Amino acid sequence: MLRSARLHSLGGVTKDVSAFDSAAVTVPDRPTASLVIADREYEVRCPKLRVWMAVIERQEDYEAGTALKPHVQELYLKLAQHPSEEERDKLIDQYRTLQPVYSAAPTVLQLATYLLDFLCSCMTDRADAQALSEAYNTDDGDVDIPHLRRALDEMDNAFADWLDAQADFVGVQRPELPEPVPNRAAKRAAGRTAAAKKTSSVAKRTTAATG
Amino acid sequence: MAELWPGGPITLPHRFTHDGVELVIPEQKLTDLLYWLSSGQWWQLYPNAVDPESMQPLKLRMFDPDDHLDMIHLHDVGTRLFGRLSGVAPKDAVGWWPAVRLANMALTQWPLFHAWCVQHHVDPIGGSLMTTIAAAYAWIRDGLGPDQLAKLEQELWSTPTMAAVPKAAPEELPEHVRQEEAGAFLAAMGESLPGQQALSGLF
Repeated sequence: MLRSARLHSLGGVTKDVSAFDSAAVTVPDRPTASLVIADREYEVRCPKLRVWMAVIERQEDYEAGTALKPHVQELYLKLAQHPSEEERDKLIDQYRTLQPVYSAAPTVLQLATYLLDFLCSCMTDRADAQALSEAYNTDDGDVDIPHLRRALDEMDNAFADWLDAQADFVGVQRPELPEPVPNRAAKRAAGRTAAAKKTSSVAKRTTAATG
Repeated sequence: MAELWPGGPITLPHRFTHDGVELVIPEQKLTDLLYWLSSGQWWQLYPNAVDPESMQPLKLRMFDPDDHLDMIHLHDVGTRLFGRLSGVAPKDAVGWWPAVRLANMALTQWPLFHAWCVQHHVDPIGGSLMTTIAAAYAWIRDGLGPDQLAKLEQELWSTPTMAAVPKAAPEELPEHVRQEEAGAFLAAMGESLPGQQALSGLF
């Protein structure tokens, strides 16, 4: 694990060096699990702990950006309404606070591409990765953004024990997947469903009334 | 300072290699090192204290799903380096847990530890981490009887099981009588370890 070595000296730095070799550290094999995405079964290998943490960080960035979006839009609107100088300074201060988080957040499409790449990298069979990618990228494919997010939830459940054990060993908390913030697309979809139901019931009533 | 023996005590800056990548940990503030150590944050020393550019080859490997390099390997290097920096890594031992315990006791009972240091002409934040940890070791041994010393040594150098590592909890007020203090230390040995840390800022 640790062996002695001597390298050339650079100004003020310890002359004798230690050399660490990761191959000497045994890591238990990462488990695999079956994952169902849009009615097709895929076999996935548990991601490395650091990779899983990065996926969660990306998801958190997205959720934070989504949650902030209405506030940022409201600030834009207020600023466009020619507020007083005092009010304008206050709004700009608020914007400066929100802007770094908001601008660091991926768009929904960036997040989807990231998640797709991540899921494909976890597939044990390259053909499965190709199939998932095609199912997402083709217009008539069955896989959409919510499927990718649900796949993350399934992986979180399937690999919780292994990831927890790794996190415990290195003394860090395994971050949890953030709850999805209801986004505008979901709201629009809900709105469309409600409108369709209303139209349908009006049509039914009209049909009933006219016999 | 050169290494006294492979795996022996080191000081900063320290040059080492990880999987053939040459890296340097530069000087760090002693107060930062003490805090990181007492709270179990090995990653602050390695990889966080290393120049990000020189870490790039390892970072790329970390995110490669087909490469075995993961947190556990960084943990191995970070904890070993911290143990050696603390001067409590005897041959073939990591030294991480005794260093964490001693730093944790010194920081949570700072007024007592500091008073002991003043009495013994040691500056606990003006020298090296190794000296401060050695002072903490001497402080906690001071005044113990043979049985208590034996118990201290056993518990200080043991590796905790994961289930025995509790979450960090507010410390009780320190005892002011030497014997009581020693007793409290021994009783608290298994309870004073840091809990799991939320990891932030790691590459």
